[in-house]
Amino acid sequence: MDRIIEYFKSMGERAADGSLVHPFGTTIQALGVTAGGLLGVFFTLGVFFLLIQIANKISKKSE
Amino acid sequence: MQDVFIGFTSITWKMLLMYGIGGILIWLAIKKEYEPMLLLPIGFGAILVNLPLSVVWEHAGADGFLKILYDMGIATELFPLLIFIAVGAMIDFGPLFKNPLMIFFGAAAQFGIFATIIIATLVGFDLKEAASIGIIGAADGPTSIFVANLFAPHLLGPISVAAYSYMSLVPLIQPPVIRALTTSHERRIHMTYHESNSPKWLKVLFPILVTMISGIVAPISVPLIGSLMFGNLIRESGVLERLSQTAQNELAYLVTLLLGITIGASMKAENFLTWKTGLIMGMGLVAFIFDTAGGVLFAKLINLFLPKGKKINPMIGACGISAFPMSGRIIQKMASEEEKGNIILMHAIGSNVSGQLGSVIAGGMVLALVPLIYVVAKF
Repeated sequence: MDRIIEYFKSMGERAADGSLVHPFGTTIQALGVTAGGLLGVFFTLGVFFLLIQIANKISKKSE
Repeated sequence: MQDVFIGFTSITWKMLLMYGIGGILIWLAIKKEYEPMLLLPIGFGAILVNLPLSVVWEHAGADGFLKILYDMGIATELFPLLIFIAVGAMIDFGPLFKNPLMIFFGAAAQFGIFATIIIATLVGFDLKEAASIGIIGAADGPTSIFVANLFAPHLLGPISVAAYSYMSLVPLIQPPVIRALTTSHERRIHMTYHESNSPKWLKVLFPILVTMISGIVAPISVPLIGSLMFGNLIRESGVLERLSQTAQNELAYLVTLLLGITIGASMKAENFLTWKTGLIMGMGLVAFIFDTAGGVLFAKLINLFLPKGKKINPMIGACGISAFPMSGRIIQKMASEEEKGNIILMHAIGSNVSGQLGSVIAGGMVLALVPLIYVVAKF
């Protein structure tokens, strides 16, 4: 836990050469993949949902 | 003289253990009928590759037949993609078109993938390995193989075995998780289903648009989603019945046969018998449990906003995993056990086919995000 807090605290802290003092930890990277992945899956399937809803409405109108 | 007995002298205890593991997989396939089309070839492949000198893999500087198959079908990702064409030809999105809300369970039930990625990094795997392990939660063998082969080919054997084993164990894994998260009252919720035919133009247009949208959102997912939707387009076009049947039968059986024995051949003792294999098997189970929990809890969340009489049976959420149609059937069985005459099968199947879509999209997301995170982490 301490390591994770340390990573959060150190985000943005840079050395003289511009590199991060503490690079993102693997778990922090995994959290990024998790957040991005879940958002991406919900967004993409949400678009498919809209697509089906529109198609169903068009189909009902034509009937 | 030594050459005569080389078969005996080169046997190690690890090889013997692998024969045992191969034997168990074959036993599970025959006796328990757990995914027999895959576990039997995998088990036999594991025995073949661990025989002395391993000539099926490589001998006297020349590739053996399993190595040739591996290089041709797994290293190039060809086998999983061909399987996807077959799977696409088997899927009927009709139940989903009638109740599109089910599509969101296909997203919620991918939660196990991402939860497991985090857990795997905490256990000590690097991000690429963790992503490959997490994707076991896709409950989708070809996607697991596709991602693992790109990110962690050295873990392909245990990941494939875990993915296919747990898929076959869905009837044992899902019910206790669902019972723990739902009340008997919730499990008895009835859902009405209106029988009507979806327009043909929607069935034809859907695979094309899904491919295009996925290709724009996550271009790297195109081989996966493209082959799945190509198979579905063949099915729904209505003019390629024989091709559709070929994809569903001959293609599916042939590629499954080659895929299974080749995956088995990746289970060399020195690669397979490590502490990582045990962890991967454990985390695969965790992924399936979190998938089920994610789907059920999301259904309960949606129910908070739905009026009385329109509530969703939360068990439907668990069908958002990709194990099709097994998960849908289990949920129907559970609903019938809870209350005779409660038919929720078509909703369950709608959620289940969404899981097919969701797992492939999730695989694409992981393929896109992991390299991106590496780039971001450098700055």
